[in-house]
Amino acid sequence: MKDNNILEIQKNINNAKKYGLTVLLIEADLDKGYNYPYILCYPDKNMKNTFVMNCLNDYEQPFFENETENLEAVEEIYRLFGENRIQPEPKLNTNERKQEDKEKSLERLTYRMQRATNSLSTLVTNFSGAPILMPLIPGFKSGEEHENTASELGAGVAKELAPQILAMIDNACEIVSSRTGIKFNDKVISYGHSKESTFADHFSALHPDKIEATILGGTEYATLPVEEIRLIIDNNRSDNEQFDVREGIPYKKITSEEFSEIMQEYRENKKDNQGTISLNKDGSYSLPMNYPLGIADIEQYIGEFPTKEAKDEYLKSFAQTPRIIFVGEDEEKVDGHYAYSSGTTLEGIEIESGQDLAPFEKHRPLFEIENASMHNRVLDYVSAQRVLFGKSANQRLSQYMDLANKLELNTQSKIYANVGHTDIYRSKALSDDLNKTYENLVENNTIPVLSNNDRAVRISPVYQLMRRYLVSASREEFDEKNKTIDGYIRKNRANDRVSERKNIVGGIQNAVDNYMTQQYNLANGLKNMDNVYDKLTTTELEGIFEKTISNEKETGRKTISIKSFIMNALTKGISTEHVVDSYNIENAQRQSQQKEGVTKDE
Amino acid sequence: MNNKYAKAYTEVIEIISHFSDEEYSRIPKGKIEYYEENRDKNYIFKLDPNVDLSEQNISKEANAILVSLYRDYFASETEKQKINNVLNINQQKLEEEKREKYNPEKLFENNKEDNKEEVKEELALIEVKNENWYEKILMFLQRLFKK
Repeated sequence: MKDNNILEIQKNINNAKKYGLTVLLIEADLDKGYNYPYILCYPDKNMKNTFVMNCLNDYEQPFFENETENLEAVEEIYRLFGENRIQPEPKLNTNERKQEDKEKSLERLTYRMQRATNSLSTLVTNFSGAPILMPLIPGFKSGEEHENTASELGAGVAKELAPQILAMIDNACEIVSSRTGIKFNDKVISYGHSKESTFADHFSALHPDKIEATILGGTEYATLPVEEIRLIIDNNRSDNEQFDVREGIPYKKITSEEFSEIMQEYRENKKDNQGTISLNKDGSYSLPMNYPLGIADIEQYIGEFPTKEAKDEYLKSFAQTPRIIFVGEDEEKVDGHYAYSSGTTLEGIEIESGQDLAPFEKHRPLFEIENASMHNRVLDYVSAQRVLFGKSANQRLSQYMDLANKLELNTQSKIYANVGHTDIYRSKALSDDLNKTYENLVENNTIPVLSNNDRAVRISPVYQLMRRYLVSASREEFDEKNKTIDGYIRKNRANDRVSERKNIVGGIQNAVDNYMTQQYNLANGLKNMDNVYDKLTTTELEGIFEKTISNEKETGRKTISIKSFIMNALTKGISTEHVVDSYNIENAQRQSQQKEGVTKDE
Repeated sequence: MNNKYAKAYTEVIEIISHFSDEEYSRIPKGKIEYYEENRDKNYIFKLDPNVDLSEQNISKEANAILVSLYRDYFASETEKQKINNVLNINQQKLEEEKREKYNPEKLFENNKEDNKEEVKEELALIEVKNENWYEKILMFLQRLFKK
């Protein structure tokens, strides 16, 4: 397929072709139904037939130390922008938004491009063999730089963008099919992390028939296929009140104070075409679950269902679509991105609603952390979400999962240990789960039951070390003296501009390198461990047992020091798992014997 | 009682009997009594001090118990941390082995040999040596223990 709108980015990336990864930038094509560009990335060999679609990018990978700038690629991307071959102007509701000037659009799109290419590294390493479709949709909020993405612009944008995404999916399948001869699944895996997950979820809710699975990271909520939640006012309800589902309708007890809060908020934000909170005969109140919280007004986005059967089919498809939600265990502690309301940090730093909180991880009061962790915030429903699902991210996830199970949705969640929001992809357990999920979906059309659903296994420090040696992060530190956000942002944005050009290509190279690292690790298995061990021995293990037991008393008999046994054990591969097992067996046995003892005494 | 662990306790009882008095005394009596009570009394395990330990078929359960004993009653905080590191390395290796067994994913299988040398050049991390990982651990620990 010859197409002038396809730019083979990888020809400008060191060794990309050699590593068997094709990276294409597909320019916007209004005739084909999408007025944004997208990135298409696929392995040349052993490619699977199901696309992973990741719209928007919120996650940045650190760069390699020895990364070099590829001026040719930078020039090429700039040439595209310069010739207006990428359409920056949104085909959206422009009445309320002032059109940006070209320079600003260029800057914004470049930023998006940078984010997109950085995210490729996450995708190629976590979905082995997957062709990847990555729409480059910029944000549009006037007066702001870079901070807003389509996911934050509400349901209307999802409605506007969804047809374009569908067109991109068709186009991507066509392009790769024509190049490889592979026939692709017409359903995609909708994947997203953090803000991306919002759009991934919203899109899935609009077109469940096009979704093989939805995988959402760093979030604690996904659109529910319900039209209402019934509120029962009960001032004596327990603090940990669970949802009750009767005939497919969720019920929840709340206090009268909470009800007033929800009422006021709903009235203030209600759109004309949305239903009102109403009293039912049984004394409960119906809170409409409008899209994207629920599907009460879904027909305004996807058109009216022609028949009841069509609606039933939609609901069935929605409920059966596999959905995985994952978060980092530490998300609530330090992560989160944006202040949910204006306020002052413990150090007296003024923060405005929507402000990026990343620089202030160690400087936040609790309410901000709570607010910031509401990644899936739907502005119209702040109180409702907090009242109904919980104040903290983990509470909300727990309540959401409880309700999803009661509604018999095909949904799983998992919390990964020792990672937070932005470093979650350091979790090997997560990487394994994503790869396994993708493979099962492609091979068997099922998803695996994620093991140890409450807590994933701890991340091996070896793996973390591997990552540390593979990538070197140089993160901007918060300047203690610079206690104003504006100052901080000015400083950072200046840095951004300096590194911007490098980042564009750096991201792509990062993707390729990460991908190849993974392949290399798989292929070479233990050899890789040798090297990690070398690093460990020189950096961490030096001096081990240097203060081992001394002053052994000589006895008449020939003794063997415990040290010899330990050395023997460790070199024979005794691992954490074995030691933990030995503890567990002993403890269980002791408890059992104690109980038996008590019984006998009685 | 788990049969493997019953046998392991027998091995542990035999092994600690070869400790010096000073080392033996550092193991809590309760522990020794527990091993004694729960050991497999029909299982016979004899340690020969003249034969290399690696050839004496000590079970992994017994080895794990010995490691836990050392970590809990002998090691300093630094040593504990270092031992944990080695345990984690071994865990990682175990997981790698499981992964290799479990995961049939063999992307680039055909050209991995071709790529190997090139990747070595590209990534600073990759440096293939002849010694395998456990030989290194063995050598390293031997060096330290023989101080």
